[in-house]
Amino acid sequence: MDDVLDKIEEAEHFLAQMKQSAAADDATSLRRNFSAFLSSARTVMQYLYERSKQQGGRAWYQQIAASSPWCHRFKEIRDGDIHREPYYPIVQHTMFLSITPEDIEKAPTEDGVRVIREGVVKGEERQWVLQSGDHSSLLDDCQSYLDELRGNIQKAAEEGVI
Amino acid sequence: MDEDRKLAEARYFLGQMQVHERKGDTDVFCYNTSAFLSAARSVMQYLHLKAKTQGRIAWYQQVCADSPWCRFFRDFRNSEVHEEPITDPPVLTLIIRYVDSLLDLPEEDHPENTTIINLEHGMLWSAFEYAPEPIEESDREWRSYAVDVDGKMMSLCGIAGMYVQELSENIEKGRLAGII
Repeated sequence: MDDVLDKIEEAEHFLAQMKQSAAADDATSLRRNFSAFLSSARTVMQYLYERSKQQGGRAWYQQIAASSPWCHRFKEIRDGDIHREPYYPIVQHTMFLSITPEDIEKAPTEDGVRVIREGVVKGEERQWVLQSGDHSSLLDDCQSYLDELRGNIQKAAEEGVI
Repeated sequence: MDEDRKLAEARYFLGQMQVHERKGDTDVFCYNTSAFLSAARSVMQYLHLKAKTQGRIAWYQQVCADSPWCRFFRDFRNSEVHEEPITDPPVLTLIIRYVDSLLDLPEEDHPENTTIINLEHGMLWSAFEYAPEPIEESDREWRSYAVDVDGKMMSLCGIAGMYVQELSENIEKGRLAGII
């Protein structure tokens, strides 16, 4: 039990480091700490796997793994990062636009297309994401993964695996 | 190159290990050791994949055979990932003693996990290749988290530095062999 909790605390440490790196806009540090986070967090499930195997409970583990979508997604990322090439989360820029029917009506036409040039950008957001097109931030996804891992630890304790 | 990036990542975490060793912050030292083990191991895993893809697995095996620290740290990392985390490493104490002459020093008993380093006045001594700074004459004691290497306690940061050096040489061998 302690081993598993040590590892989740380690993963929390690296997530905290990632948050600091993101706040400081330090991309290199964020990527390195993300790599460490991937490794620590993955080890939680590896420990659960080893403990369940020792107790003949592999079916239990497989059931837990199958019902853990964050674990599945992050396992794929971690395996690629460890064995093939570094995995780099990316910065995604989102612009918030406010366009009314009047804006479209007033916009000039160029080659048959209405081109809106100014006055409609209401804001801009810059956030780290796992991959292009993600709507949730990298830091939120990592937190969701940790929450799922904590839930799995709880299930393991209730099942007597740890 | 991916290998260089992972090696830089390993160096970064080795730097963090050294910082937290100096602070005596065992938990954070252990976290960074875990991250170091993982990043450093990936260097050889990337080389393995590239060698395998090119049908050069014999080259990779020879490099491994010539890399004692890679073998040691592979086992260390596998144990850490699959069995149990590093949580309470033993502490190795180095006592630095300045003497008039290094000639004819008497044999002395000293406590377990303690090493006495005799230096002549005026000498500086770099404890480990990747120590943050050389030990000055004003320093009298150096405490380092340790690991058992074939029955001998050695500074973890010290041997991690030698591992990094070995990995750097292996990347260069990979370039020379046309693997990367």
